[in-house]
Amino acid sequence: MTNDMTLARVRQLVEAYGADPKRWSEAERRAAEKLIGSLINPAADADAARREAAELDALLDRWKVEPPDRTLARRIVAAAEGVPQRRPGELLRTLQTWLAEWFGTGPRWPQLAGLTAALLIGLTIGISDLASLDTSAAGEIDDGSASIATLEAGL
Amino acid sequence: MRDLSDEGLMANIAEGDRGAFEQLVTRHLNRAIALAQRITGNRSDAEEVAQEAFLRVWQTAPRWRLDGALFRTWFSRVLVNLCIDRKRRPGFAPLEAAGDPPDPGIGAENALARDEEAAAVAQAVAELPERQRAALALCYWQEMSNVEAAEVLALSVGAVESLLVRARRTLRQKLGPRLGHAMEERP
Repeated sequence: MTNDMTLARVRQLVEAYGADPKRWSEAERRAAEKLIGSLINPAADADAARREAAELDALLDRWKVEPPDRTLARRIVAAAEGVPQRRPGELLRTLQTWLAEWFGTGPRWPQLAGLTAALLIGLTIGISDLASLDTSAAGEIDDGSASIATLEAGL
Repeated sequence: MRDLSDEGLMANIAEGDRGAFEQLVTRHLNRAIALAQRITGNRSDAEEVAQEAFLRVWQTAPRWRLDGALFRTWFSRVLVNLCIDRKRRPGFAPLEAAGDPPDPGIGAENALARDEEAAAVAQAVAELPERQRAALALCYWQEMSNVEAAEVLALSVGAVESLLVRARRTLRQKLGPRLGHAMEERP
């Protein structure tokens, strides 16, 4: 990696992660530091980039976030007490319970026949409603066209 | 249980162990608040986001799988997503004044200047696009590696680096006049 490291890349690392090598890309840190250390006079641009980055770092370090109140952890733990955990396959188990409650454990054909009949009746009503909607919608369009035709005739 | 890894604690939480949950909360709460506050720019939102994220930990622990990812990475992703969702909500609270209370050991004038600088940084960061803000919070203040930050943000390492470069350039422009001052006072 050392051989691949260039001053241009060092500058990019500084521009992205700041002046402190501890924040640089772990895969490149050693090579970058070695390259900087090997220079008798660090190149002016790399040096300037690090100085600029250090200035910004110093300012960013000013923004400190106070630790939370000790009661917050307790409040979070207390809030979890009323919350159930979601276990794998929970949805499937809920569905199974629901079906068992509906159909019970006895012979199931009467319930299935009832459900099928209800579905068929629902579908029939739904389709006939759609057909009547189509007719009324077409009527509205016709009415509009007629009004425009009347206006045009008047003109 | 004291020395259990985060992943070990998650396994215990999956069994409904409230002690393990408390330990995980205590271990990660400070970092969670710091990350959330730097992304939302608001303390009360940060606390709510942290609480919501930990409740998600409790709820999903039985279904949580390691899959090669660390708990910290997964949890940071949950936090970042919750922060971004919250910032997108209408009626989001404006930025609070940032900074520590003045240090009694230094002069009042210096303390005031430091508070002002901290507030200026917080304001400038709040004005960054959300992904730049999140990348900066993860890589700079949380000191997360670029690889881990990329995993949290579901981006490539190159994309994270590009976000960081743009964020820092914008911050330099916005904070320009203050830049040298903080450097001179650095301990």
